Order: sequence, then structure tokens, then C-alpha cells
Amino acid sequence: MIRRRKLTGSTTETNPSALLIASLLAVGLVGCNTIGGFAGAAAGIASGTATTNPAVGYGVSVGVAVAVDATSKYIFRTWHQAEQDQIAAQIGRLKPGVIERWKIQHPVPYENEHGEVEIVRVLSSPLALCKEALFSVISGEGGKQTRQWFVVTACRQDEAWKWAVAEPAVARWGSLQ
Amino acid sequence: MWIAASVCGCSSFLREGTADLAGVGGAAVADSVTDNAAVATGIGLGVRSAAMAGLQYAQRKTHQQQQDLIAQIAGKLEPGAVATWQVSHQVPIEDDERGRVTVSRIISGQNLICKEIVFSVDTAAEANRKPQSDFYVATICRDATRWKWASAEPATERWGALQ
Repeated sequence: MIRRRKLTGSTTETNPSALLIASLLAVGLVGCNTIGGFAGAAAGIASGTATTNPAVGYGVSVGVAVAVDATSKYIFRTWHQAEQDQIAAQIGRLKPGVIERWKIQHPVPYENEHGEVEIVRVLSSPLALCKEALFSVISGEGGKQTRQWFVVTACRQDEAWKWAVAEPAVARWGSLQ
Repeated sequence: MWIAASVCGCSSFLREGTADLAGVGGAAVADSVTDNAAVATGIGLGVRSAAMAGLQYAQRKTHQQQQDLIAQIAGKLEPGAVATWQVSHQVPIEDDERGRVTVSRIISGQNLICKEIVFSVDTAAEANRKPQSDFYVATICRDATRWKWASAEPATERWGALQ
């Protein structure tokens, strides 16, 4: 979403979208979370060069950064939520001691994961029915296969079972924000 | 931007909104000092980072307040007892929240007492929405005289898009 603005001052020929595309390709190697910032900075410098007005350039850069950042974060969040919801639904169905396989396949073949899930405890509380479970994430194949285990708690909400792990203590947020 | 953010409560817009205002302000000031757009935009980005840090600090304060409150209330509870909690934030960057909390287990180590708590965030019924309760599980530990939130951060392998 590049905001079109009336150009003022110098009319130097710069193509902002070419720079933007180049930068997006470059960040593919770096990591997805930085996409918004890189795209924004590229668009800002490009439009800043075209207008010589840094405030206009900045406005464009923030617009692009918001759009790209929000979109990529939304997609990753939706994927993770789908994975959490699927594991939580299996936790809801399972009885303690039974191991079941889980697998998630997204429309785009990225972050497809699979593993096992097992209930270790049913939490008795007057507020909600919750279960503590172990789940593994299996990566690689054959001899190079690795299996990492995690602990999770899920609770039954209205109609569905949902991931119930609360946020970490603020003192442990570190660079998570 | 600020008004839109407070209505939708969308942290992404709030985040960029704060940065946007500060950044454009910084860039406009820089414009009078230098004609070099890239340099001026660089100054804008610097101001933007400072504004972002300010907002993140406010979000931390807000969450700390909520965690401390729930921990204090749950710290006094025996397993199975239910209490209510309600928080009104001093900085209105997040909605005021309320819910219930109970203790599901006592976890004790040597000279250390902790509790596993189940808490709800309750949303009241509105015109076209039925009331909803979201449940979460956390751990609290007694630190000298105060109860504090003790849930650690997720494994870095599970951070995904958290950062």
C-alpha cells in the first residue's frame, strides 16, 4: 500500500517499486519478521530521493511498513493458531496415557509440522476443565530425524479446546516484544 | 491514528501510529537542517525507534500490573477456591479486563512455594455477542513476601512470529 503523493522539488527518475521488490527478495534470506521494516525503509529512501522531502518519504515508508508487517505477522499468527487449535482439539479428545500423532498442513508448504501428543495430567479446577500434555515436533527424515518435546496446557472453552498457556512473566519477555 | 488504535485495540497500528507521528516529526525537523533525504529519513528512523521503545515500555508496565494483581489474589487462595480479579489500566493502551482465578495445584520445592493457577478473562454480553470466558494456565511463586508471575518464556524454537 504505497500512498501516492504529489511529488515536489526535484523530479529525479527513481522507481520506488523496483527498489522495493529488490529489497523484498533480499530479505527472503534474512528472515520474515524483518520484511516490514526493510520494505518500509526501501520505499522511504526511494520516495525520499524522488521528492527530496524526507517527511513525504517517511510517510510512504511507514505506510508500506505497516501493510507488509501487519500482513506477514497476521499470516504467521494464523498458521500458528491453526497448529495450536489442532493440537488442542486432539488434547480434548485424548485420554491420559494414549499417544496420538498430529500433523498440520498449510495451503502454502511452509511451517508444515508433525509429531506426537500425549496427555500427562487432567487439571481439576472449579473454573474449567484443562489438560496438561506433552507434544513433540519431529523434523528431518531417516537417520537425521530429530524429535523435540514441549509441555502445553489446553482448556475447554465454550465449544472448543484452546491452547491455554498464558504469557511469560514480564521480567522474562526479553526480546520477545 | 491514535483514535483508530484505541477503537480497534490493534497493537500493530498502535505501534506504527506512535512511530509514525514521532518519525514524521523527526524527519520534518531534520529537513530544515539537511537537504539529503536519506540522511533525514535516517534521523526519522532514529526517532521512530525511540518512540517504539516508549510504547513497548508502556505495554510492559500494563502487563506487569495485570500479572501482579492476579498473582496477589491467587497467592491468598487455597486450591479449589475461586476469586475474581479486575484491572483498570492507568495508561489506556489496553482494555480494562476482569475475570476469575483459582488454584489448581501447589508446586513446592526446597524453600520455595509456587502455585499453578487457572484464570479466566471474561467478556460481558453485548448486543450481538454472547458472554465469553477464555481460560489460561500460569504459574506463580512467592518471592520473599510477594507473589509473582513465574511462567517462563516459550522455547525459542516455538517463538515463531512472536518477536
